Formats: sequence, C-alpha cells, structure tokens
Amino acid sequence: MAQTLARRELRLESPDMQAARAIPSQGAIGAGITIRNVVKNYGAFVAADRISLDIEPGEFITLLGPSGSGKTTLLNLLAGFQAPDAGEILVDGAPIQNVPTHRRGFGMVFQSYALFPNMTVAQNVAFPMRMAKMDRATSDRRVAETLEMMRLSDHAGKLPSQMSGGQQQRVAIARAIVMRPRVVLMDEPLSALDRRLRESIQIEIRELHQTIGSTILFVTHDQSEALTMSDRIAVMDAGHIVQIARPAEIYRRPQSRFVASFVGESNLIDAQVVGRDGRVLTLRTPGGQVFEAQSRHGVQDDRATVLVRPERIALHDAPVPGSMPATVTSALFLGEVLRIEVVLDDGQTLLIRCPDIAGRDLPAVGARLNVGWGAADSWVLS
Amino acid sequence: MLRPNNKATGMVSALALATLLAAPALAEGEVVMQDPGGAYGDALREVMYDPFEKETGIDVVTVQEARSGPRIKAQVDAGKTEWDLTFIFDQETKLLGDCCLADIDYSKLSDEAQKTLATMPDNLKRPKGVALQVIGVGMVYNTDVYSDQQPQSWADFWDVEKFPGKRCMPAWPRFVMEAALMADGVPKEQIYPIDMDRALKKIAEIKPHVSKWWTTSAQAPQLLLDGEADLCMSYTGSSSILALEGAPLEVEWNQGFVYYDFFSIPKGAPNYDNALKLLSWRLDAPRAAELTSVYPVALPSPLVYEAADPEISKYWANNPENLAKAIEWSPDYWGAASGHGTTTNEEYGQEQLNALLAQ
Amino acid sequence: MTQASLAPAARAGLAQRLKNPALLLVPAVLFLALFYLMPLIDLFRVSMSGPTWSTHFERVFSVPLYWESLLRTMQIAFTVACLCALLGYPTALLIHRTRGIVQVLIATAVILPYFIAILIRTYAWMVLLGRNGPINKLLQTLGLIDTPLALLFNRGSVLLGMTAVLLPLMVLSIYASVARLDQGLTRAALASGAGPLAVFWRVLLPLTLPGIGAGFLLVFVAGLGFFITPTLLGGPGDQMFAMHITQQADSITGEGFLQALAVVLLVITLVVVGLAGRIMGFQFIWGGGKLGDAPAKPAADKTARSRAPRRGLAMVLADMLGWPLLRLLGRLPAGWGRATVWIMGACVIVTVIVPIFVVMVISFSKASYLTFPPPDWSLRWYEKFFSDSNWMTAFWNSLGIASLSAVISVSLGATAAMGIVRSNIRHKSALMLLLVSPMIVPPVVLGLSLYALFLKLGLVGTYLGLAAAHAIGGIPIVVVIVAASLQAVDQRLEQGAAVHGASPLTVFRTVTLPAIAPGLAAAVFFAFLHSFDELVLSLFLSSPRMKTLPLMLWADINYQLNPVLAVVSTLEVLLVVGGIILARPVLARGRAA
Repeated sequence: MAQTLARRELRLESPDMQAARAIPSQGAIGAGITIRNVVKNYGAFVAADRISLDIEPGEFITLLGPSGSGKTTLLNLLAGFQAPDAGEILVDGAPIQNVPTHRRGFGMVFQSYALFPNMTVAQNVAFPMRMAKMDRATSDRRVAETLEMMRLSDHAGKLPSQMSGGQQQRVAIARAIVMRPRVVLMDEPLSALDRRLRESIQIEIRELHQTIGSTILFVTHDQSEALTMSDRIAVMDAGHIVQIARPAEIYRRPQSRFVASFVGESNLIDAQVVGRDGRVLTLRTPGGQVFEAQSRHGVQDDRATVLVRPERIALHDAPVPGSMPATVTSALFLGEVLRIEVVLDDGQTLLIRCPDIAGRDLPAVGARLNVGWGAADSWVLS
Repeated sequence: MLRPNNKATGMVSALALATLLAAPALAEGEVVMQDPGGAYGDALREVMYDPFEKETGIDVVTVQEARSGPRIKAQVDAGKTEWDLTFIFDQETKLLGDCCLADIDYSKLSDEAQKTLATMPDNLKRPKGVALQVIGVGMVYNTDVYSDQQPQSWADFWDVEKFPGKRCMPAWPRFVMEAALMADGVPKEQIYPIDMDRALKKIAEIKPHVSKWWTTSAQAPQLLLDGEADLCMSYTGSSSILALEGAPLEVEWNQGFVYYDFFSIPKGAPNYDNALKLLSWRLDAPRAAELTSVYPVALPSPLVYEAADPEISKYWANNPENLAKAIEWSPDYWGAASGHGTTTNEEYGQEQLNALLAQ
Repeated sequence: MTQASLAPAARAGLAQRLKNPALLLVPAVLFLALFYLMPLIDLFRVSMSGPTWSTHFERVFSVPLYWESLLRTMQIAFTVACLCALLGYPTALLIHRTRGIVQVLIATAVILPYFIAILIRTYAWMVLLGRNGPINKLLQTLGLIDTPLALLFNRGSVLLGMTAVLLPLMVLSIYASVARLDQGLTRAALASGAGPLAVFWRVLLPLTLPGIGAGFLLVFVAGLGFFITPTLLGGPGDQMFAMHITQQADSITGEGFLQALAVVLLVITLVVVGLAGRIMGFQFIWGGGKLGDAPAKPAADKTARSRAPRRGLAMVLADMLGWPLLRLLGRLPAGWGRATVWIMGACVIVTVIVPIFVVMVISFSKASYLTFPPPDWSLRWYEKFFSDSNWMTAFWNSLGIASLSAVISVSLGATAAMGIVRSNIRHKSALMLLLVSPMIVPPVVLGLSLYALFLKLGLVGTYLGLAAAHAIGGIPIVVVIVAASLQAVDQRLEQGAAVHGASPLTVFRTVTLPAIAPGLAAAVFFAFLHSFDELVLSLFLSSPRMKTLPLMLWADINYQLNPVLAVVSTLEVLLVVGGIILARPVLARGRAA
C-alpha cells in the first residue's frame, strides 16, 4: 500500500491530472469489501465455490481467469444482478445481499460500454446523478468536471453512436465515476478495444483510481492487463480463487501450475528432489542435470515441478557450473528480445527470452549451446 | 438463379401448366347458374340440377351470390360474361335491361314450360326476365315467447311494451321503411312514394330493440332459433321450412310483402341455349311443385300451386289467403332515381338507413 | 425469368449481362407494374370519371354516412393500435425474459395465430362470444347471469376481435426491438442507481419506442383496411370504410363513386405510411435494417438531426407527465411490476390462443349447432367435410392456387431480392418500397382495382389469375425474407470461392444457395400460406368455377354457422403447426437473419 501511495503522490503532478485535482474528493474513499463463503450454482455448474475475499478500502483488485472461471459471476454478485446461493457479501461491514443493485451506489463499466444510445454523452454521464436526484447545478458541474477529466468535454453533445470505441468506453467510465462511488466494478472494459488504445486507457484507469480513490474491482482474462493495473490480483479457476497476491508475487511465485502457466510464459520442469536446504531445494532432471530452486515452504514429495521464466534463463557459449547443454530448435528475432527454443538432451524443451544486446547473434537452428539459471531464478510450485 | 436453363424450363412449364388450368373447362354442355346457397341451394341441387344433369348431360355450375346485378353489369361492360342464368330484382330487369340482359327467346322453351307460362300474368314474363320465384317477407315470431298473444301488424312489431323481446330486421331500406310507415299509421295505399325521413324516424324508435340487422335470408330464422331474437322481419320461405319441420316459429302474413325474383340471361352468356333448357326445366310445373316440398319458395303459377301439397302451400307467398293480407311491394319505386346524384331510391335509402344504424 | 429471356444470347454476352444483378429486378417490377400499379392508377382514373373530377369525392365527404364512417374507421384503427401496443409490450417483454420451454411456449402461443387465416380467427371469436359460446356458458354456470349476454355485434366485439387478430404483429414488432437491446443497458442503468421503474421509463421504453412505433403503424394501417373482422363481429354501428366499398360494389350505379371510396381509403393509408416513413424511415414496413444504399444515407442523417429537438421535447413531456405517474406506481409493493407483466402477458396469450382451441374442440362436437362444451363427441363433421364434393373441390383449388402462387412469388421475389441486395443501382430504397408496398395497400382496394383488369384479361376465376393476384401480396413476403438471408451471407465467402476458381454459377450453387436455402424455404412456406388464406382478393376475383377454401368458409359463415367451419379451421391450424414444425430449424435461421 505504501508503495501505491507514494506513486499516487508522484502521479498527481502529471498534467492530465490537473483537472482531476480540481474535483473535491468526497472524503470517503473506497469501501472495504468482504466476501465470505459465497456460492453460486447454475444448475449443476458451480460458478462460485465458497469464495472468500477481503478487499481493502481504495484497493485496485483484479479478478483474472479464463472464461468460465467464475470471475464475472463474482462481479455480478457484487453488482447485485444475481443473488448468491450461500455466503455473504459485506461492504464496509454491512451486508448487501438484500440491497437491490440500484441502491448499492456502485459504479460499473461494461465490456459492451452499455451507453444509452438515446442519450447524449452528457446525458449518459448525468444519468446516475439524475437517478440520485442531485440538484441540477451540482449535477451539471460534476458532469462537466468528469467529462474534462476524461478529456471528453468536446463531445458532450454527441450521441454514443457518433463516437469511436475508445471514446465510448471513456464515456462509460465517466458515467461510472461521476458519483465518486465507493466501489467501481469493471467487467472486461478494455477487451473490445485494440491494443494501443487498451494500453492508453489502462494507464488512464490506473491514474483515475489514484485520483478518486474508489475501490475498483476489475475483471479481465488478459494477464498483462492485470499485471499492469492491479494492487492485487485474484487468479480464479473453476469457481475458486487459486491465488491472491500482488502482481509481482503472482508472476514470480505462482502458487500452482495453473497460475504459472496462465500468467506469463513459463517453462515447467518436472524433476526429482535430491536435496533440501531450508527453502532451497536441489533437484535433478530426468537427464541427470542437477540444479537449485527456491520454494515457499519446502516440498515433502520427492518429485516437484519447477517454474523458470523464459527471461531468467541465461545462454552460455561454453559450459559453466550448473549449466546444461542444449540444441536450438527455433530462433526468432522479435525486436527488443530474442525468442529461442531449445531442447535439452533429456528431451525437455525450454523457451528462452533474452535481450537483444550487442555482440549476441541469433543462434542457428541446430546449434549447440549451454543454458543455465540460478536458484533465485527458479521457483518450485507447490 | 445461376442455372438459368433448368429454372427457365421450370418456369415455362409452370406457366404452361397454369395456362392449361386457366383455360375454362370447355366441356360440352354446361350452364352457369347463380345460386342462393344455404338450404335453398341444397334443395335446388337435389330436386332440380342433379336430375337435369342426368337427363340432359349438361353440367350445372352454381355460384353462390346473394346479389348479381352489379356483377352482371361489370361482366357485360368488360365483355366477359360468365353467367348464363341469374336471378335479379324486379326493378333490375328494367335498370339492367338495355345494357346487360339478353332477350329471352320464349319460343325455344319446352312445351311444359309453355304450359306453365300460359297461366302466368304478362307482367311476370318480360322480354328480359321471367318471374321464377315468388318471395314473401313478413313477420316471424317465436311461438314459445308469444304463446298468449301474437303480434298481428307492424304496429305490434314496434310495440315493445305489449310484445317485449328482441327484434331482428333486414339491414335494407326495402320492406323496413314500408313497415315503419305502416307502424306509424300510414295506410297501406299511401306508402309510396316513401317519406324516408318519417320512416327513418320510426326506425330509430325500434333500433334499440333490434339485436341484429341481418343481411342473408338464413340469418333471421337462425337468430330466432338461437334465441338471439324473438320477433323478426324475415323471408317467409326460409322461416316456413323450419316451421314445417316443427320449430317453434310462426309466420304472420298480415302486412307482409310479396314480390318476384326474375330469372334473366346476361348478354353474351356463354351458354344461352343451355340456359333456356334449364329455364324450361325449372318451369315444369310438377317439378316446381316438388321443389317447394323441400323448400317452400314457389313459382308464381296457379298450375304449380295446384300441384303442391296444401300443407306446404299454405306458407306460399302466392297463396291467395296470404296474398290478400299482404302488401303489393313496389319494385318500381325502389328502382326509380332518387334525385340524389345518380342513385336509385334503393341506394339512397340504403345510405340513409346505414347512417341511422351507424349512430 | 430474366435468364429465360437471356438464354438465347451468346454465352459470353450472357455471362457479361449476368454480372449486373440489377437485371434480376426486372421480372418482379414488370409483374407489379402490370398487376399492381396499373390497376391502382386505373382506379384513380375511374374515380375521377364523374361530371367533374371531384364529383364522387365531394359525395364521399358530404354524405355523413361515408365521412363519419371514415372517422370511425380511423378511430377504431387507432384504438386497436393502442390496445395492441398496451397488451403487446408486456407480452414481448415476457417472451424476452423467460427462458427455455416457457419461452418457446409463450412465443408459439403468440406467433402461431399470426399464421392462421384472419377469417378463421374471427370465426373463432364468433364461436367464443356467441350466445351458446363458452363465455356465456361459463358465466351462467357461475351464476353470474341468468340469460346469455349479447357479446357479439357491437363495438366491443369488433375491438376485441381486431386486437386479437393484430396482436401478434405488434408483439413481433416490439420483440424485435427488445431482443436487439444490449442486455448490458439494463444493468448499466441499475448500476447507475436507476430503480426498475426508472430503468423501464428512461432506458427500455425510449429504446424500444421505434419497435412500438413500427408495430403501432403496421397495426393502424392494417386496421384502416380491415374488412373481415368488423363485418363478422360488428353491428351496423361499426361499419368500417372498407365495408362500404364492398357494399357499393353491390350497387349498380356505384361506378366511379365506388372507386372514389377506394381511392380515399388508399390515399389515407399512403399518407399515414408516408408520414411515418419520413419520421422513422420506411424500413418499419418490412421490419428490416437499412439497405446498403448510398442515396439513402443523407435521409437517414436528416432523420437523426430532425429527431434531436423532438427528443428534447419528448423528454420534457415524459419528465413532467409520465415520470411522476410512474413514481406513484412505484409506491406499490415491489414485485407488482413483474406481476403486472405476467398477468397482462397471460391475458394476451389466453386471448390469442383460447379461441383457436375452442374451435378445435367444437369441431369434434356432435351437435349440429355451435355450443360449448359440446354435448357429445363425434367425427361427423369431419366425415361431412371429406365427403362433400364442394368442400373438397375448394380445398384442392386452394392447394393448387397456393402452390402456383408460391411458385410465382418465390421466383419473382427471390430474384428481386437478389437484385436489390447484390446490385449497386441507385434508388434502392424506392425500389424496395415498391416491392413491399403491397403489404400496406388495403386488400379491398387491391381487389377492386384488380377486378376491372382481370375482367379485361379474362383472368377472373382462373387458377393463374388468383395465383397472380395472391402473388402481389406474396412477393413482398418473399423479398423481405430472402433479402434478409442474403444480407446475412458473408460476401467474403463468395469472394473466397471465386478467388479459388469457382465460376459465378458454382459460387451461387455452392456458397450462396446453401446459405439462403433456409430463408428460401421459409419464403416458400409463407408465400403458400398467404395465398392459401387469402379471402378478400378472392371475393372480387373468383368465379362460379373457382371456389377456394376461404371463400367457402366466408359463404358459410355468412349463411349458417355450422361445425364444418370448425373442422376446416382445425385442419388449417394443423397445416400451420405442421408447416412450422417442419420449417422450424429453417425459420429459426431465417428469423435470426
């Protein structure tokens, strides 16, 4: 959190945020959310299986998972579009199961934008204020401020159909935050946009979060989006939260094979445990190569799966201690990095990403070289 | 679409087939006869047409149509006459006579027909039409409802205090206006020319008590049987057949109306000779009498009357007893120009009545 | 047909000319010009044939009978359209919100009657409301009344009958716009703090307004030309304008005046449609999207622009009047809204489906008059139907005419749809309007205008004549369905096939045809059904030799109501159900397209 706050201070000085700063924060920042043992079934399909989750006030938390993992269900339960079959959801300590959607006072952004096509941009943004029976002057002022913040002031009179996808999504975001809600729910808001637009709006959302301080619950199936934006990521699979942690932790120390392969590219090596030294294990590959890896608690079994991220593997022309001989099967030049696939002598394939540095040529297919990594570069999955 | 030959062939053969189908069945010997439909139509088929077909080999094609005048005019105007024999109103023999109706060649009719015709007054055998059915319109009531006291006149019909119950009447100015005037106290000799305003005023009085203004002959007796109405102005023919079958209906002839339907051959009829043959067939007195035993609409000839069962002929409109009580209805008045646009009195009266009923 | 005329041309020339799909429009346009536009123009000519051109029109507007009837007609049509909108909206919502088997059942209950002849549905109401009908029987059994009520032949029965007959049209129209709605919008409104009522009032209603408007207009226009239902269910006080036309057709001296009546009805219909078309675009007639047509775009922009201020006004009005009213309703306990939708929807479904059900039951009655429940059961009326040569002849006539008419409609309509969708000609919208416009011309007017032409051509009472007349209404149905399925075909598939060496013929056979086959099959079915059910044109154009099933029904309904009519109705229902079941996979795709 401290880190986040520090960054917030820093970001406040960015020119885009000059306008944002003019908005009086309502004092009350985001709400804390507690989800306890929530269950939701669709017939025989379990969409949410006793999910529990604590979200700090003002936190930006991302639900990450493949489709069908239950992340949208969880969001819908929070929004009140559906009611949980069991469990409870508390916002700032108060249960909200019996509060209808429109009284929960959340903001929400949808994948399909869901702008009212019969209303102008300004009317769309003013909609929540109107529903809250805000007086006209306040409403107008707030709408103008929010539009300016989202750089939409020139488009206030347009209909959604006259705008581009990126603009529409910014309108949708404006509508979601105009009331400065305690909680903003975002349901894959960027998936309909192209990559460059996505990246720029990612940054905008992030900055916005720091400005308004609402708790944001963000749903996505895009791991890089999750890594970029979140304070914490909750990785979901088959109705469970399999790991919840800060992005770096998720990436570097994934809990399971699923998390490791869902977030980022990974080399997974099955190996025999031959030695233990606290949290550092010594392992042997089927081909007889021995290496060390870190683990969270140590492993009781004598077999383990080890994760090595492609960028953590070093290439050596000559053998060095701990390195293993390998044969190049594919080598691609991707610009800032080289992407190389090798096969170890025991048949294990490895993916390697290394920076394009001076003096390194793209190896030829079939070339022999040595690969290696340190104990700190590999992680034993539990 | 992109297999032009196949599709084109298909289209062509479809068209050829259609053309074949479209060509009128040119079977030798047929006669196209307008038909009143309903029970009367069934009776005609059974008594008249089936034996006629068997005997002559000429097919009788019937077409159900309540009123043929306008159709005849349109067909003749376009030079495409379809009908050979039609029944039209008295006044239409004059209105349509010059434009649309062929002369009936009386000399070509059969001997039996000649015999029947000889007994008929001249007015009923005109060059453009021959009266083939005598039609009565009168008061018909449910005998269960009016068991103590029966309505006797149109004044009674209008008297809803004395004879409570639902009424039904035709949605036409003819008969209804005359009845209204009589109910209003106009002597029957002074009915024509009709004072339409006075008649309409009187009709307005009975209107709230009329459950249905009927348009086809079968409706009135049906309404009486269903209990939708208790006292109706109705065709006597369609009502009396039910009375003969034992239904609780009775026909009151007092102040009823008697008129004739004329059979005419449109100009350019495709089967003129066959039409004359069918006309002859229907003018055969014993057969015409037999028809009335199934459906009591009579041919206006004493010869037929004598040949019929008196039980049945008591319901005939040309039964002298009935005739004496009835009014001589004036087709001439209704066919005359009204002085409003090109309309006849009937058309003008219809407009006026419709307007009243629509209120 | 284009191909037929082009066939003799040299192969190269043929191929060249085939490249212009606009030519495919020629047959349909010629057909409609001859059988549809020309007679209507002639109708105008005859209507002005009085001493001065306006003589007959002056009479229409000076005789109270006629202009009062005109006002009454508009009033009835308007009321019916309002009732349909009021009842149709909850029903459409219900179809949209329910899922699974319930949805299928509700949708079927509403849509099935749409395909059953108006004549039969009206007859069903006569049975239902009759003196010995189920409603009176029920009320008597419950002891609420002693003597049967006179439920028939009044304004109420006309409104009820017409509403029931036209409701499916409205429901389909509204449902189309509800289904198109992004479900996220409702959620977005809820998430923005809008209560269920506000969601309905601020979001759902404004967004489905075009669907309601389209349905309203279709119902209103159809109501203007209604003839069958008011004739059978109405009293003398419920004379509608189309009925005057048929009555005048029975007058010898009516020539000219008769046509003037028809022209008045036609002009009013066209003015209404024209105004509506200007405001909401003419697509509402065929319920489709805009055609990819450059000249149409400016018009569309104009409507968007001209709508903007009106929206403001509408919003102000809505805020001042509607919203406070709804707020009052909002004080009612929660759940009432849902209950209202369910109750109204249920009423609609009952209204639409029960009469048909009653008729089916009565067809197995032993009694020779209409009474419900039947005193005893028998198949005697089925025996009578199948042994009566008149009924059977009429049945085969209808079958033959409908088949021929379907062939004409589909060959002309499908080629025209090809031409419209695949060519780049200008005035596409105008052409489409021409092709679908027979849908909105009152059948009475069409029948009257055709009668004169058919007499001249000797087509009265012929298979070809009736089939062609029915095809006038069949072509629009085919064009709409086939054009929709053609638009759904990804043209890149065709281009892909062509790139890989397929000739245009092969492309059509292997790519286009399979893709539109379902639509084509649906078009055949509907064109057939349209002709099979057609009554009003047939009334004008039939002859002694040519009685169709609807004509026989019409005659019998007017002469005597007997259970044979119920038999025919039941058979028609079975035909429609069978057709829909057979065509269901096809229809699902056709509708989706």
